[in-house]
Amino acid sequence: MLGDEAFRLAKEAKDIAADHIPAYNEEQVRLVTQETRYLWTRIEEMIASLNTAVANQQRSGSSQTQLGSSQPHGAPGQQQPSQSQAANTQQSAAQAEIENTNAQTALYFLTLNRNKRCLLAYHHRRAQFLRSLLWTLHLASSMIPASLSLRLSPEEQNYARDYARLNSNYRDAVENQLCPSDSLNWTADGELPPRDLFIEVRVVKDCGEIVTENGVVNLQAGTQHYLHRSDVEHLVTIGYLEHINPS
Amino acid sequence: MDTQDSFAGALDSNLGLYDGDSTNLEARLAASDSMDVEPQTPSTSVRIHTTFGADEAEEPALDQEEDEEEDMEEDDLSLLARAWVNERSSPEILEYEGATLENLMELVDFQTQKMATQQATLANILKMDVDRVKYLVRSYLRTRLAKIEEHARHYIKDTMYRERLSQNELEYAKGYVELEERHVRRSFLDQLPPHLRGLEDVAAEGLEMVSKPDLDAAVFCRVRTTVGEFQFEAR
Repeated sequence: MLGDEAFRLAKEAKDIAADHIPAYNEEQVRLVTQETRYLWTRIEEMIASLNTAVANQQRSGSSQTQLGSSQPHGAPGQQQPSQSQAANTQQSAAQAEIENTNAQTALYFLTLNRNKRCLLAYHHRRAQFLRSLLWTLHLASSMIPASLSLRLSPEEQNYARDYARLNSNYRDAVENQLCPSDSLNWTADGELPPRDLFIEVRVVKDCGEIVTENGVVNLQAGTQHYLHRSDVEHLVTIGYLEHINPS
Repeated sequence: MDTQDSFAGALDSNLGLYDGDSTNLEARLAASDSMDVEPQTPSTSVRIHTTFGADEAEEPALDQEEDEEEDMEEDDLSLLARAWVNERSSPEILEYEGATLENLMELVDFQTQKMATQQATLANILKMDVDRVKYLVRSYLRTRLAKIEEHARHYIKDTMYRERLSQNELEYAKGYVELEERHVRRSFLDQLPPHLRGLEDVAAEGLEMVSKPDLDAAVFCRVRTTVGEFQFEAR
């Protein structure tokens, strides 16, 4: 049915959850663009036929006025009215035909716009998911897990890369301007203000040795450490460490 | 500090910056200790200084007096904290607090340098302080970025909004619009009939493709000075 394909796409966009994204549905996108292109050619055809219909009607309309003007001269017989009646029904049929085509064109046109809207919404929603994913990955597009990047279209992978670049340009510019010798820890948890300088962490995945302000720490899986929050926060966000008893 | 749960409250009361006067510093440290005992009274919070440097150091006698005056005015930190709260709760993007940010970061830089020469306990407290200011700056800038992404096209088209963005933010907004456009064009838009490729169309019913901030959205206000009775415009 008209518009069904786009509806499916919109529904899929709605299915995107905070931590889940379905695979990019290239087939469905292709179907919708195909339908859109087809409807467009139909509209062009209909407009062309409409134009000829209107032109025809104008012609027949002018011939009828001639007919009407000749009427007073002729005898008031039976033939005359029936003839004009036939012309009338013919004309109203043509009129109905034109109205039909008009309505159909309008319907197709609305469908076109709706298709476009669904396509935009689908891509927009996925891009939104990608952006928030990238922020949790410290805006490194190379960090996107393989299981996820399989579900992205090549275009979306480009998008992720470009978005990361756009952001790092901005961050560099800001840091140059505000604090040339310091970093703002852009991707640290943005929701809560830092509460404790030190946090207790349990190592979930081996991280090897990290260098902190107070020396080298060996982060072996299973061990627990009490460390400077700013030293290990990035490891917590990407899941290598687990924050114990976050207040 | 631990007893404070509210997001804004945590920042409100104990984000403190110390000035260059190290004897004062000790006194303030004591003040911040007492704050831990009575965490519910933000009035004991550490004083925040916005100015420092040669003038103050040369005239220690005036220092105290100037402190009092400064307390009356608004310092950069509370300015930024307010700008940040406003930014987070308003539907449209607000004026960029460029000067405030620069002043604050200068202070942060100054304090970071000072940390190296302090004993560990003091240095840790100073670092906490710096971290919290950085958090505020970061959150402020990120909030703005998120808002820019939401209505980027509108913001770079409208002169009034363009002026509210910093140079960097404007670049970001432009880059973002370009990026989005490239993405949809390559993904599907180029395959649609040429008449349907626009991204800034206005439909007959006045529906626009360019999204705008909803200026009729409800916002919360805190009354800072008494206004008396106020009549809202009828809708």
